[in-house]
Amino acid sequence: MIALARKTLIHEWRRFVPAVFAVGFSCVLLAVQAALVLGIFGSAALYVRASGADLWAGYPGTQSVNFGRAIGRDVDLRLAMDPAVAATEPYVWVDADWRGTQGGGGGVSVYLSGIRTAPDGMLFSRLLAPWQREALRTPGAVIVDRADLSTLSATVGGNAWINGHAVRVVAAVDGLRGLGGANVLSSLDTAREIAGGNAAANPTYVVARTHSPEQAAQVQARLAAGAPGFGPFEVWTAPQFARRSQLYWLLDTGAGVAVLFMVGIVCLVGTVVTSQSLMAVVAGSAREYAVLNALGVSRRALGRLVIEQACWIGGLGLLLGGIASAGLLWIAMVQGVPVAMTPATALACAGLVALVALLSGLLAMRGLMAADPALLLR
Amino acid sequence: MNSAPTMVSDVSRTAAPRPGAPSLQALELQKSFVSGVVQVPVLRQLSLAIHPGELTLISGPSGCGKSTLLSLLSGLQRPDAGQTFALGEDLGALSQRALERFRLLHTGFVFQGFNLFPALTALEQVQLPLGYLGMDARESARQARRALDEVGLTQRAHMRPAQLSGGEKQRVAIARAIAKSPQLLFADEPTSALDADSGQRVIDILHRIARTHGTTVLCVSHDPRLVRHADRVLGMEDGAIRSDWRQPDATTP
Repeated sequence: MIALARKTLIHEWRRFVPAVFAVGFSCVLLAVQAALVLGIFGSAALYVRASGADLWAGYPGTQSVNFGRAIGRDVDLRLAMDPAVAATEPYVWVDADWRGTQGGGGGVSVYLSGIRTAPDGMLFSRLLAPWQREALRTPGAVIVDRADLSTLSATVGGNAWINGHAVRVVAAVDGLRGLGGANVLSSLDTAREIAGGNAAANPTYVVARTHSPEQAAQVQARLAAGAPGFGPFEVWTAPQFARRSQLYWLLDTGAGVAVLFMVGIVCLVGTVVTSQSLMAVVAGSAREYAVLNALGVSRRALGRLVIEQACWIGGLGLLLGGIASAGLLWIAMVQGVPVAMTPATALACAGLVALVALLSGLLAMRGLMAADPALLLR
Repeated sequence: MNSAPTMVSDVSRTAAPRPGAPSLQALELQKSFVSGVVQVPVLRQLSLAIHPGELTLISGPSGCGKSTLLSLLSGLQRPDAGQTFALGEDLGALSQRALERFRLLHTGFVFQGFNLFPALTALEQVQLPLGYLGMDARESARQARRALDEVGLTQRAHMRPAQLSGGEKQRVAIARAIAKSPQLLFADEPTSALDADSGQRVIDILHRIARTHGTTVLCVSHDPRLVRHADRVLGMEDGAIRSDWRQPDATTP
């Protein structure tokens, strides 16, 4: 069989360029949007992903890491009692107010994380170098994200105030940017002092490491069965809690609906523009298609030709969009824009782009209506 | 030199006898088109029989219904009333898909516009419809070369339409139509867009196809050159056959 669709695409490539670009742009918009969503809402789970803990225990029903409430001190003990748990440590979370010494003006809302400063500390173990963790041992020492320094009117080595307590920025790291407020790390003692009052003595979470990561689900199941005599608490595995935090921001805040709406718009615009370009190409060849129909080539076979053309356009658009998306996301990452991409998300974007191309092909088949062989007779 | 055609008004009385069964037959065909709110009759109770091995020409003034008759006889359109038989098959009884299948197996078309795909070479243009008959690439290439040879375009087989003259394009279109060895070949004004030499060549090819392959060649044209070369000339006017003239030696191909 003569590959008419492919040969036409190569020979008359200029006519197909708008359609390929339309698919490519749809691909870029979907991929960049998905990467931003993953990047921005992924930072809701930053605390979990940047830490080496396998289990997180917090107040029952906590929707997201930043909504934690104080739990009993004995929860630490309950977790440690489980034979599969190798180590536990408390996490003190304080919603606080930061005031820089430079620039003056009002305060900045910050999330203060009080963590263990021992070298084997689990919290933020993937983010902090050993010397940075050690530096937090100095009373009043804090670490912030490098990108937040200007927001906080701070410099490394400079002083500031959190809830009226003097602090000193001992280091700035990358990858600590949060959602809704700047993240500030300190030792447990510094965090408790800043929080003040008796409630501050209680941790917001207790995290634990199991002997092997596979045991985390078993421990969670055992603890979910009940722990009589201990205060209210709930245990999640690290992936569960990360997902829970992310989904809260995505679905319960309306952000997810907005994202889905945008995905719909991108697909709709992509389909309309691509189908219009493709239909113009089909209509331009209507007389040739009409001759084929007169010679007995069925309309179904002609429709398959249009779909084949749409598939080629989809493939080329996907290639173009994929390369452009990869380039843009790399630039975004270098510039510190919160973006992330997973194979599953990339595959979903590619699937949507393929759907856009296929729908465009189906819509463009209307162009074959003009391919009536009787119209060729004069 | 052929004698000038003698136009007569009564078809049944003057049509020369032709041995063998007709390959195309129209029985009391009626067709009308709606123009605005007015229904315009194009064909009125038209009956006709066309035989294989002949180049039959339908001639007549513009708007007389000759192209409509061609479209009905070839199964491209359906009549409002009456019946069309092609190779003994009642075209009106066939579904759209069966009609497409019938055309694929038995009919070839040549139109005034060449309607070639710009991306394909002459050989590929001819090969293209053969692929839909289920022929493999080697067989379709062989058939296509044979058809191109028949129209004298073997040397141009690798050229695209942009590299061919108008006459050559029409010959490619003819090769495309005859490559599958159809029993019925329909041509609508095949020489109108061509210069004298090219037109003459196309006429010769159509005539030869009818004579050597026994193909039924039905041609619609007002080109006087074609009138001289046709085996049979049907004169049409106001949706009816007004004359039927046959070459004296046309019954003995």
